[in-house]
Amino acid sequence: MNAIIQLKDVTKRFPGVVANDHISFEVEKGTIHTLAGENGAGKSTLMNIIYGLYRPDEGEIRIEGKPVQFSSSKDSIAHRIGMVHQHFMLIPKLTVAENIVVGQEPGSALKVDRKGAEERIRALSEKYGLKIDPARKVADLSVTEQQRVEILKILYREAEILIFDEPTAVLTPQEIDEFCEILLGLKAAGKTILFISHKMAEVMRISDRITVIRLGKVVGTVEKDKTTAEELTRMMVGRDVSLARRDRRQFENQPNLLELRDVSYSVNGVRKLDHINLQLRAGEVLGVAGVDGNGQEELVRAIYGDIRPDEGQVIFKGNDVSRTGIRARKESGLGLVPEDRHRDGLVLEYSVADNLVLGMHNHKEFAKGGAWLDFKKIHENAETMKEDFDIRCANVDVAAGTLSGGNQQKIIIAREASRDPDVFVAVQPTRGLDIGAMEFVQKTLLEQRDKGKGVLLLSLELDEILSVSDRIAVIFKGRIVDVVDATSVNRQQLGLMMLGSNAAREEQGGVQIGN
Amino acid sequence: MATKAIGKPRFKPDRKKLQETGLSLLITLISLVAALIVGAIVIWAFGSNPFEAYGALWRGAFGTGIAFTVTLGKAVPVMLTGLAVAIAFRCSVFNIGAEGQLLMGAMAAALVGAYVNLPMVLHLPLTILASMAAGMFWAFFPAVLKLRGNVSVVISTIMFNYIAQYLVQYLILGPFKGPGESPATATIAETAQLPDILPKPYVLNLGFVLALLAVVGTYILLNRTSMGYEMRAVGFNASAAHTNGIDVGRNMFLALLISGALAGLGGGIEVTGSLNKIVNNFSANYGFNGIPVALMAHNNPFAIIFSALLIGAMRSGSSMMQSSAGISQNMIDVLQGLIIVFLCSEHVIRYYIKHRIGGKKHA
Repeated sequence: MNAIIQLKDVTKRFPGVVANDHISFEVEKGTIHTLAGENGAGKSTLMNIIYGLYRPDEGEIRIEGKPVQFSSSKDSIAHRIGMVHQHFMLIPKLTVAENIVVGQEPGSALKVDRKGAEERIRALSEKYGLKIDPARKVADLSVTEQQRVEILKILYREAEILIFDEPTAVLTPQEIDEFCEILLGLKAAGKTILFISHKMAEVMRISDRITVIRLGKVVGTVEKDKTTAEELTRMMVGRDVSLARRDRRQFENQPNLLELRDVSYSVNGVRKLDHINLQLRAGEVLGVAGVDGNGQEELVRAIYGDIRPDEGQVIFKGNDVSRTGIRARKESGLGLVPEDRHRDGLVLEYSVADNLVLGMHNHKEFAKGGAWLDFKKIHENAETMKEDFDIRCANVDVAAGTLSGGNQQKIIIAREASRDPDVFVAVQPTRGLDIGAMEFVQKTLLEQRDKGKGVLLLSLELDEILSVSDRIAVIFKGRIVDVVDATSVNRQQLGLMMLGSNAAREEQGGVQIGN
Repeated sequence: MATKAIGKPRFKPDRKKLQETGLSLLITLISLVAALIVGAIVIWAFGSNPFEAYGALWRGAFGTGIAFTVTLGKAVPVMLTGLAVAIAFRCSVFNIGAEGQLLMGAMAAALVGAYVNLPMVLHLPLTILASMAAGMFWAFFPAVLKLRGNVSVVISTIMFNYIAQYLVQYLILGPFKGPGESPATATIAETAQLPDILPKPYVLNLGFVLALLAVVGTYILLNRTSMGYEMRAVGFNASAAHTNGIDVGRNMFLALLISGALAGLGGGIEVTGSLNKIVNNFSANYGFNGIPVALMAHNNPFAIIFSALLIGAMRSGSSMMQSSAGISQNMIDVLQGLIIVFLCSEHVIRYYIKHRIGGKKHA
C-alpha cells in the first residue's frame, strides 16, 4: 500500500447543494485511478479541490502522507500535481512551445530561451510518445494535438500526479483509442493518474481502481478486475440501465418520408457531398455512421435547409424541397436536434419556457394572431414539457444556460418532439450526456419511430448507432458507401466500413461501390 | 445583462435574478462615482474647485423646478436615440447612425412643419410621422447594404452620418434657407408645434410624453411580441435563431429600420417641440450620446429613461457650471467619456466585487 493521495471526509458545499459529502478514498502511486459518476455527481468539484482551485469546507487531503492545504493551483503545481481541464486552456496565437512554457519561461527576464525550451519539449514528447512539433501554432492543431500540448504542459512542470477531467468527451472513437495508449504509457513511466469519466468502455480498459460517486457521496471504490461495466453503471446511476440493442420493427413497404437524390455539394472546390442517395422510411431509425468530417455536417445541413445542394434533390414527403428554407421545412414536419446545442439548439439567455417554443413562437398556439406572445400558453406548455421530459430545473423561468447539459438537451428534444414532426433528425444527440440522460434521449428517439415517424440518427458513437438504428448508412468522403441492416453487422465490420474498406463490405456481403 | 428573460405572466421574485439586477445597478453606480472622482481630479488639476463645480452642475440640473423641467426636456432626444441604439443592439445591429437619422428626421419635420398647411390635429401628427419616416429612410440604405451585401452596419451608418450632416447643412444654407440672416430654415407653422404640458415658466412640451410612449412601445415590441422574441433571439444567439427557422437577416433589417424611426422621431420632437426650425449644428451630438445612454441602461428600455435623464442633467447643468464655477462646458464631455470608460470596465468591476469583496466563492 503506497497511497500518494489520501482524501478524508472532504466536504464542499455550495449554496443549496452539497457538492462533495465526506468523500474519502486513496490513490496508489503509479496507478490509473478513475473517478466515475454521472454529470453533476460532484466529480469536477472534487478534482478542483485536489488541484487547489476550490478549498474544501471540511476534511483533509494528504499528498504522500503529508497533510496539505492548497490556496491556489500554484501550490498544487509545487506538489507536482497537474491537471488537464475539460476545456483546453491554450492560447491559439502562440506556438506549442510558447504555450507550454508560459509562466515558466526559461532564459533571462528579457529573452526567452526558445531553443532550449523546444529541445526540452521535444525530449519530453519522445519520452512519452506524445508526437508534436513544438514550433507549430496552437491555432493550427487538431483537438487531439491540443490535448497533447496540455499534457506536455503539465509534464514540463514535472507533475507526478496527473488529473484528467473528462478528457475523452471531445474525442472521436479512434482518438480515444490513441488517448488510452498515452495514459497507459504515462502509467508505465511511473506517473499516477486520476481519470474522470463516465464512459464505461474506456474506464474498464485502462483503470486499475475505480471510485464511483453519486450525488456527492462515494458509492464505493472497486478494483477493476473484480467488477463489470454493468455493476459500475448500476453504482453510478443507482439502478439498472439498458443501452443494449433494441427490438426492431417491421418497416418494409413503408413510404419514404425523406429522400435524397444524387445530392452533391462542394465548398471551395472540395466535394463535401458526392452524389448522395438515401431513403428514410416511416417507422425506422436510419443511423448514419462515419468518421467525423466525412460529410455528415453538410448532409444534415442539406436536409434541414441550411445549404442548397449544387446538384440533386431533397424530397420530403413526396415534395421537392431543395429550394425551400429552414422555416418552411420545419413547419412542414421536420424536427432537428442539432449537433452543437449551445450554438444551434438553444438561446442560453432565454428561459427554459421561451426555449421550448423557439421556432414555434409565432404559431397561433403561443402567439395571439401570430404576433402577441401568449405567456400563459407558453408557461403551460413549459410545465407540461418539464413533466413529460423530466427537465430538471428550479422553475421554467430560469435561463436555459443554468441547466446541466443533459437537461439542456432534453429541452431541445422536448421542443422538437412537441412539433410532432414526421422526420426527426438527431445529430450526436447524446454527446456529453451521462448514462441516465443518454438512455432517456435514445428512448425518445425510439418512441418517435414507434409512432411511425422516420428518425435519422447521426452519431460518432458506434455503440449508439448499433443499438438504436434499424438500418445503418455508412458515409465516407461524402459518399454513402453502403446501407446495411443493423442486425447484420458488428462493431468491427462497421468500423472498417467507416474507413472506406472494401474488404469489410465484401465480407459482409454489401454492394460494392468504388472510390 | 440586466434584462434577461423578461415577460412573465406574473412577477416571481427570483433571488438569483434580483442579485444579478442589483449587481448591474451597483456596477453602473460604481462607474458613475469613479467617473466623478476622476473628473474631480481633472477639474482640480485645472485649478478649479471640484466641489464648487459639481455643486453648480447639480443646481443647474435640479436646483429649481424650472431647471428640472429643462433637464427633462434635454433628456428627450437622447432618450429616443438611446432607444434607437438599444433596440438595434438587442438584435446584434450596431447602429452608429442615430445622429444622421435624427438629422434627417429633424429636416423632414422642419419641411413638413413649415411648408404644409393643415389644421393642427392633422398637421402635427403628419409632421411627427414624417420625421420617423425620414429617420427610417436614412436607416434603409445601410440596412439594404447589410442585407444584400453584408456591408458592416457600423461603417455604413457612420458614413451616412456625414452625408446627412452635409446634406442638412446644404439644405438650410441653400434651397430651404428661411428669412433672416442666420443659416436656418423657416419657422414651422404653429399647427405643427408640440404644445406645452406645463404652464410657464416651466418648459416642458408634449415631446416628453411622446418619448415615454416610445419607451413603453419599444418595451412591448421587444418583450411582448413574437417579432421582439425573434429580434432578441438573433441578438443573443443568431446561429440558434437561424437553425430554428428565424430569418436573421430580415430581423436585423427590421431592427435597423425601427431604430432609424426612433432616432428620426428624436429629431422631429426637437424641431416641433423646442427649436421650431433647424439652425446650423443644432444637434448637440444627440445621436452619438444615444450610445452611452443605451450602454448605461444595458439596453433596457425603462432604464433608458434614467440614463437619458443623467445625460440630460449634465447637459442642462453644464451652463450653470460654466457661468458660476467658471469651468468650460466641454468638461461635461470629459465626464461623459469617463463614465463610458468605467462602464466598459464592467468586467473588471464585476471581478473585483465577486472575488475581492464577496470572498472566494467561485474560482
